[in-house]
Amino acid sequence: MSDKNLNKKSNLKSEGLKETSDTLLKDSWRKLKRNKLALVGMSIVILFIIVAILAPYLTPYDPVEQLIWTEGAAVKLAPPSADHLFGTDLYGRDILTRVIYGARISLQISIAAMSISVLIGIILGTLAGYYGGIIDDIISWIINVLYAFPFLLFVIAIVAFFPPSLILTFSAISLVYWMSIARVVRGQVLSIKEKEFVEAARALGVKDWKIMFKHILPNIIAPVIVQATLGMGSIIMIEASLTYLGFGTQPPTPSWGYMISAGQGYLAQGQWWWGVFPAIAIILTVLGFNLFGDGLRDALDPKSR
Amino acid sequence: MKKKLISIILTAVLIVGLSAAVMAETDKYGGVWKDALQSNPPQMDPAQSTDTKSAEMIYQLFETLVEYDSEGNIKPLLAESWDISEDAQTYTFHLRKGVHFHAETEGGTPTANGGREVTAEDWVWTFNHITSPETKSPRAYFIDMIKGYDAYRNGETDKLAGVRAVDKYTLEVELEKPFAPFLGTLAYNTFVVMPKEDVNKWGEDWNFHPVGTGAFKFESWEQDSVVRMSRNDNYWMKDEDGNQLPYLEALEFRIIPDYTMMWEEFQIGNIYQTYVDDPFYLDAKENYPDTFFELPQLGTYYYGMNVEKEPFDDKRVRQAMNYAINREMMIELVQNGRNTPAKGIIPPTMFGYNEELEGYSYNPDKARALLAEAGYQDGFEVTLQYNTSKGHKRVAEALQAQYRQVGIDVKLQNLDWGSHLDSVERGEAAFFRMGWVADYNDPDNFLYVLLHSDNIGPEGNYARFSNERFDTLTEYARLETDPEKRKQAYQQAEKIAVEEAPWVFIYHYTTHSLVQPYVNNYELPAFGQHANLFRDVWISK
Repeated sequence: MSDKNLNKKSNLKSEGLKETSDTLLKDSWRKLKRNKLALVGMSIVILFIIVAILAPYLTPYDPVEQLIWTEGAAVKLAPPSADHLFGTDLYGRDILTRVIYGARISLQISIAAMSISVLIGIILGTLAGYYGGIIDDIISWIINVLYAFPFLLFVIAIVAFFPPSLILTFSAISLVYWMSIARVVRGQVLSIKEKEFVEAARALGVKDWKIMFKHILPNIIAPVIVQATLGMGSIIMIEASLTYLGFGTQPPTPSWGYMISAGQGYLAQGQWWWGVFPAIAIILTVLGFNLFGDGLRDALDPKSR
Repeated sequence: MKKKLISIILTAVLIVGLSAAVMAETDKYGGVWKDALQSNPPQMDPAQSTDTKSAEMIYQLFETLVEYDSEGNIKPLLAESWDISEDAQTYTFHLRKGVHFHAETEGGTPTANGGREVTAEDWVWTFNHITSPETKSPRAYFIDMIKGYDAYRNGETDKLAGVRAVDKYTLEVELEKPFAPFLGTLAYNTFVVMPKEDVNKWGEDWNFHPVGTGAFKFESWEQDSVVRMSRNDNYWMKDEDGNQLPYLEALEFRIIPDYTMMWEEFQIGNIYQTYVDDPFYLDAKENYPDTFFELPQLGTYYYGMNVEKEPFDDKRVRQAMNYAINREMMIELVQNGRNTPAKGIIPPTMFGYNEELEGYSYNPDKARALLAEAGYQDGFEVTLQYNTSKGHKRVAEALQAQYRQVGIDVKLQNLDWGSHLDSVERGEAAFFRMGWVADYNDPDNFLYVLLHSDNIGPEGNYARFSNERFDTLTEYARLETDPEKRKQAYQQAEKIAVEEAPWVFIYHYTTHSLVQPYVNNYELPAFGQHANLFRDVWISK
């Protein structure tokens, strides 16, 4: 165990750091491969991303075109068939197509929201952890205050205030999600800044921003990746909840949450396909991110060998 | 001996029979009526109420001079009869005797009026209260034809000159000019009798402590949760056999915002009446064939276009908006054919309805041509604002797709009812969903209220439509008393409005109500489910 630290310390100013990262990556990948559940999670996540990117090539239908106006009642809430594998909705839209395009919307929003959250979280978390004192007090206070709000209600309050749009949706989500990243970052920075290699750097007169950026950041990136992967699942859920409640993206944009809410009334009437398929999509995707995130955590943790 | 036996048997039969009859009568009494409201009623103060949820509450607690029967004809309520003068400007109401205000309210607390009898003086006070500039009633203008209204509103006089108490039970109302639908306006839920003691006692809080003469008295109102009322034991009305009404012990209206939830609650018997949303329509009709009531309603569902805002300041764009949609097919496929496609403004069951009105039919080519003529050959983008409801969303999503076919990109934005109405009234929304159900059975309530230029803004003309000829015609019809001439004026006015197209005319409402099979005497009013009364409803369960 002390082996690695020694290595780091002695190669502080050389490429040793990179080497350790390389071995860490290889090490982690070996551990991840052994974890069956994590592999399942990873496959789901990869599938989800591929589907989202290739959406137009995967289906012959248009996600917003309403077929009832041309084909009549026959395509209204039609059950799953060879033509429409997941059936059609009230307007004769192909549900499989909408689920596929829904993945695209989900991915866009969750990646955008997570990127902003990670950016804010790393900056504020590092500042708080590194400088401590009054800066830490202020940032921690903001985080604690934000944590005190009911998460979803806070997002709704922001979203309901402005005209709905995609940008508004992911901005609002990231505005409340960054603090869970910031917390992780702050905790990591607190422990790492006491390490000898940081103290050595400081003793050598290296500038603060350089220490944070070059020496601390590479060492906290693993837990941030884990937190972000796990968080993707939460963000997809939040986005679905928002659209389910009628906020966030608006029709005709295919969104899983909205499909569930629109199909809900028809569920008990025997026309289950409108609501059930998008629900399955959400469950699978969230499960995928969670399994993958858990696996990553185990794999990236240097203590669990 | 035999004679004696026979007489004993006869007596026994008689006693059994009598007690059975008595049993049957008393059987009707009792029970709590469990009902659902889709949203919290904004107002319990009759003077401030403008919407159907509030109206449903107010009709249980308060009473008007006259009311509508189930066919939409005026019938007596607190006025037993009335005379109308030759010149149609003076109405003399002969009031019912023995009508008392609620003596108790909210868990047995005595009211300020003490349960005294209603007299003509109370009506005089109430009319003065409603029309007083201080009350700021948004519905006072419904009776602005009463003599002295303007002077009283401007502060030139300290009372409404046209309303007088002739004696204890005779009320006289004098109009500035004849107004044909006057009696009908008096059936509207603002013009109820209110006890001045209680109104004054509560002041600003009167809205939360209503006291009236209705069959039920107010018990409690938990905001966004439940409204409770209990039986008024001193109610004046009796059933055909002379038994005291109402039969029900209490009323309970739970606020259930979701129609799916409402339907579930109804199916397990937690509520006795429900709104039936489109997904459950066919099931409901099949499973409750005898207690599913449906009637064409005096109401119109439309999308208003603010004629002062681009691109709707161009008549051709507004017409294109009307040609672009297939109303018939939308109603058939999305709403199970439950409503009637609208050609114009006046609903089919209302006086003055024009069967020959051409209106707009689905014609996307014509819509495209009109758009091109107006300089929008590439279409345009516009936001449709609507109040949150799955039903409105379903319609909006269907029409959105049709507008896309002619190049109009309609974005959807939903707001809660209060904020939506507010922004529409202030003229902020360019394109908005709106609906209107009759307050009284006359085209005046549609054409004059919704499209006369005097009523631009909160009074009802949300599209901010202004047309001189239309104004003249609707004003003329207000004063004219000959029904044939009025009808012609209204039909001409409607034609102008349809041609100018300040609205996308969508459909005329059908009102409905589904009650449990063990509910007796329930009657769906012609004005819509919100006007339903429970004074002689009883439950056999």
